[in-house]
Amino acid sequence: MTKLGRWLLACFSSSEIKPAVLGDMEEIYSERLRGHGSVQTELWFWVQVLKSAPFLVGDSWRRKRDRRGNAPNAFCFFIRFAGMSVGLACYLTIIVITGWIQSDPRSSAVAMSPTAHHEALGEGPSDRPPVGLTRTFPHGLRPGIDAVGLSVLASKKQDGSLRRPDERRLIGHARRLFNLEFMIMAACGLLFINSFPARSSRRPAGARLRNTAFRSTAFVLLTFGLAFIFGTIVQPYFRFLVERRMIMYWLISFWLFLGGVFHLFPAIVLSVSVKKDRPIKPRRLAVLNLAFSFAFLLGTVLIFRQIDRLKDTQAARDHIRTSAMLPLGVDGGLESRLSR
Amino acid sequence: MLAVWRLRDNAYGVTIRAFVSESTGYPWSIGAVYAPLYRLEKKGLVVSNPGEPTPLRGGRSKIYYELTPEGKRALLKIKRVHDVLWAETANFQLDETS
Repeated sequence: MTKLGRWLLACFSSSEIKPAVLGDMEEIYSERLRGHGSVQTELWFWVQVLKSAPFLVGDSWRRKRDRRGNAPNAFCFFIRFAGMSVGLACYLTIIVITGWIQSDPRSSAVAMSPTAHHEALGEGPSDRPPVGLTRTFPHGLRPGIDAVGLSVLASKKQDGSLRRPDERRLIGHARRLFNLEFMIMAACGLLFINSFPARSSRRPAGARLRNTAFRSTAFVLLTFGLAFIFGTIVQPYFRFLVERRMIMYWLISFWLFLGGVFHLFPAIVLSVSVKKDRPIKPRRLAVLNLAFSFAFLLGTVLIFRQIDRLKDTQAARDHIRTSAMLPLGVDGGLESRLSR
Repeated sequence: MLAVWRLRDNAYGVTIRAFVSESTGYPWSIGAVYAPLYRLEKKGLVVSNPGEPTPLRGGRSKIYYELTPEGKRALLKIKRVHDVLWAETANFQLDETS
């Protein structure tokens, strides 16, 4: 019996039957080894591993569910279903919008010169610089992209701008990153929501709340950390979205709503189900958790709106150029520092 | 359940699998044996008892299964239902062929 096969069987089986399953397999394996050749027996063993896997996984899941002892009620089911539906809707929206951006001729004009941009849009040549377009950076450095080494994907012209196929490839790369990020986030959300009733329901309310508060905060930090890194990387290539503010708002709103659903769910449930005679006052913690999450989401929305407002006026543009208020990667931050 | 009853004191994964495979003519996998046994155990029709570890099994213990009184009653009920159904089926076949 190979170690890998044994390890796989151990992974599939629940802890109650793991020794019995492995022992049974060992017993039959040694019996077969006497009657058949080693190659045949090994083949039989792998067929058994593959055939057993779905049954063992199902059995393990059933045992885990029964051990948990709390069948999901209608409210929990609804929240999970709603959360996953929103997640799916967000994912599909991102896919559709990024696909549309990729195929849109206007998107390929992002890093072009002003003349080329207007030609791409079917307009005549103009000296007016296009709104929200990537400018040529000193030292040929572009915020975010060069910082993480993605510049290998892009070949530069003499003026530092990108060629169209390379740019499309970069947007495709950004799209894949977005997919990956969403999958990580969805996995975290699923784990978080499922582990909450499984692990915390039988604990005292104080431990349950501490656990929930820690998990939810960690989850939100992870979500926004990933969103910030991703935003920093792709930000220069999505500036044309400033012209289509509604799309940007939709994306951000979906993202925040998703984070909010995952984050607020345990706090809401706990705030309505906690008991009063516990040493730690759980209701206060739940309210604190809610307040933190609300402040977090509100702060993020405000920052996005401020950035958008700053983009609107020429005075604000000058303000961006002359101050280093904005963090690295946010529109104008690094760019203004480099141009000084 | 019938396998557990027939094997009496020696009803564990390997023997149950061998019995069921022989009876049905289909090679059952080890994993497929434990899933229904767990369901029967949950319904209170069988009970499981851990056995001693043996060197033949790499020092791993067996899980022996045993029918409970409820299990025996359920098995008898199933037998009665089967007997009735088969009797009717046999008559129907005779009627059809005649």
